Amino acid sequence: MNPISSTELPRQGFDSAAGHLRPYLHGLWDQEFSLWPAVGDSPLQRPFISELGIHLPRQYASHQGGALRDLYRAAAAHAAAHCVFSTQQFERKKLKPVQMAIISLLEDARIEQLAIQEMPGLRRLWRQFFSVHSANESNLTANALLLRLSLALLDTSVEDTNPWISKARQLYRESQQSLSDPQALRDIGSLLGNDLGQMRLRFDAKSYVIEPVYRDDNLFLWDSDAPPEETRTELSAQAQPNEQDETVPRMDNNATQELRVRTLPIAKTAEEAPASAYTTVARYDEWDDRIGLYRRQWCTLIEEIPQQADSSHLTAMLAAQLKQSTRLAQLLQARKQGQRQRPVRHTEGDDLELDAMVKAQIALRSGHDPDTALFQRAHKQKPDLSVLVLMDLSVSTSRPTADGTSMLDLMRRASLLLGSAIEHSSDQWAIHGFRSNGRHQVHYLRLKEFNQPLDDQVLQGMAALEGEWSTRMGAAIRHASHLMRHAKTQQRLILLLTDGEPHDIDMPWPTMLTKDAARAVAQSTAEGTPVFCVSVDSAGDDYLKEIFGSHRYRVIDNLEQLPITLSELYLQLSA
Amino acid sequence: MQTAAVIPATRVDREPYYLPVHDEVAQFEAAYAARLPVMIKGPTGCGKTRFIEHMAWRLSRQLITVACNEDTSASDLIGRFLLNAEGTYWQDGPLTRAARTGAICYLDEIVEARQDTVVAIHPLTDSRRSLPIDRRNEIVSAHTDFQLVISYNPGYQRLLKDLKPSTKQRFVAIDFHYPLPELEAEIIVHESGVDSSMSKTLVEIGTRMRRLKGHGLDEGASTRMLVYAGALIAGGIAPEAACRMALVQPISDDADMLEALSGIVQSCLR
Repeated sequence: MNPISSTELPRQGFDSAAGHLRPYLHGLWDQEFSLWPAVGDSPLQRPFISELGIHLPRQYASHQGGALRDLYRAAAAHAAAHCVFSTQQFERKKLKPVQMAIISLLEDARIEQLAIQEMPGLRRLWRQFFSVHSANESNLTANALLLRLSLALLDTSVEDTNPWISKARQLYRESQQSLSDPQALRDIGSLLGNDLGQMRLRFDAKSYVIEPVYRDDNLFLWDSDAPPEETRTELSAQAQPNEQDETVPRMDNNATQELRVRTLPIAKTAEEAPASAYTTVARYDEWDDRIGLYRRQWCTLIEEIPQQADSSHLTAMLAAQLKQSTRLAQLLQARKQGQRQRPVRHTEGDDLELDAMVKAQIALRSGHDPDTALFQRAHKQKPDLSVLVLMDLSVSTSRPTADGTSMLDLMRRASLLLGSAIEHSSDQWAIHGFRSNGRHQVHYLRLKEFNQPLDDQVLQGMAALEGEWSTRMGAAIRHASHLMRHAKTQQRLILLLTDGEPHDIDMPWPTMLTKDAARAVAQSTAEGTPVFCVSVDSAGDDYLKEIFGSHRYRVIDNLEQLPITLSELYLQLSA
Repeated sequence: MQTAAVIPATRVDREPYYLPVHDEVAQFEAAYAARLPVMIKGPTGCGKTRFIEHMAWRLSRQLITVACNEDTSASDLIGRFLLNAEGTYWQDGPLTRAARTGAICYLDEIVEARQDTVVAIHPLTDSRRSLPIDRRNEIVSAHTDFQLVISYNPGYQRLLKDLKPSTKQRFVAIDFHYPLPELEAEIIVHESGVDSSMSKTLVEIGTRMRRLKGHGLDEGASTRMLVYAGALIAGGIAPEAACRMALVQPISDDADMLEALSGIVQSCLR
């Protein structure tokens, strides 16, 4: 869980491959795939597909360098082709293991063929993992024949005179001639399996490992009768808590902690809140899309004083990030210098001002005294941008992802990296957070104010953050935007960090909160505080577009990139 | 102080190649007939500038192009006093020249220019059709043939830099996108000289790269980039190397993204 360690270890195997495989698959298939490392270090570990997505081995000890990259690419492309084209499951019924293996193999060939039709280069990618021995005709075990058949189906230029393989090739070709049909493969497979039995070739289902190495175990192709392998159960038990299912575990987080309260002057009433626990700060309207009206004073916003916790790991993290943040601060500074103001004329300065010189010359020639203020000077500007980093603190943000860090860890790191760089520039920044437990309890935490230095108090507050409850985005944006009105700078900006769409326990129609959030964003923008969102929900394009508009959000596929991306975005936005 | 890059007014003699994607040619002609200012929206490298050159040729008008940058000031467009041995003289800027002579004035990437610059074009874009030059105490009435065209790429994520509504509402807009795959392939064949099957592959690669916009890429591969890749291939560079030069390396510096893009290129090449 140490947030520092993950950046400092050299990435290898799956960790290094996942970063480029995600955009690669997205480009190939125009959809997002979740990639997960498979547990276990056995060299026989094969990729597999689950409800979660594609699971790839942590490491392939057999391959190095470019070959390792190609192997990951081949495995990911093959599994993704399954996800796209293997849309039906096969019924197992009375099939023997050998028949299942053959049917799976034919299905592999079918989906690869479909993929190759779209992207011919994939054939080369997959073909390289069939070794020379694959086509060795003297090897007549069942496993060897299966591998030869795979090759023969992938690469039509390979000649194989074995009668069983010729027959299989022909049957396969005929079945797929008119149109690609997975169900026809079942009959062919059982027929070919029987033939293998007639040839008295023993097929040992227990020791059978699918070849070549890039192919997945194909278990997901079969209906529930197929007994899951041990590795699978172990893994799915482990992966379950990572699942991004937002609806189930939310309710059991109701145990309210003791909260420290500060009384705020704008407080109106505190009747809904348990005495002494919270202070109501404001009520905000909420847009009800079904009736097409605002529900007045609908959400109760409560400001909660952040708890404090030991922040030594955050201090250490800031120290470790010092290099990065100095580099970033330089970039921010450079941006400022690039932004020259309208020249103000001076009697001395860095550059001559052309128009002033022309005027002076005119004055001289017409016999007047010239104005001697002929120079311009670039000078430092007032703080001209206030940025508020607004963090979604719902329960899902503290769930650890595949590599053990949570969204919350990364949000902390991201906002502190950006903040410590802004600290050295002339902009000002703040960190706030929000979560909600129904419309009467929208909690809002001010972790760092604009005029507050980045000190231990801020860090201790950040360290104590935990994800809880839900995401009622609209009310939080309205409150943030309200607070931003007091920022005395030319430009104002809210950067919202989130991991999912708005939802709350008292709202059965999540799209309603989406529509409400869209209203809140539009209003804030109209008042001069645009809202930009960085989300890690890679399937979130639709609702993000709806809430923030098509150019005002960014989705990050790789959570690890959040700190860098946030800073990058800030630079870009403020340029 | 800085002078915007001004391409001298050119009579476009030879027909610039342009393959209509929609009915944008008719739309532009109608807008020109009514002398309405036109805003061309679209991502970089999708053919905006080429379209304007083509239209200038079609309408047989001179074309004055100004590439705006953040230092482009109002006097860069309107003009300024300069000195010579005799004294001061007035030098028309490109916009004034276009207004006087009846050319089409094309302000490329107007959003980059400073706010005062953008406001300077306002009087030319409404019923006044005139350009006040305060330093000369002169009002230039636009020639009847004069038209103002601006280009604008809404894709750049710049919250703090956008055209004001008062500017946007003075224009009719023609929305440009990357052409449909078949048309784009045809364009690449014409512009670069590669054969049509390679051109189709390039379009396949381009389509896949465009899917990554917003997922690590700021912009997808433009038609122009695909044409460049095609030209390199036609010039004898191996397709994979050509794609790396023209499509992969220029578009990102991120190691993972480069890896992913070369994967896409390899997967699409035969």
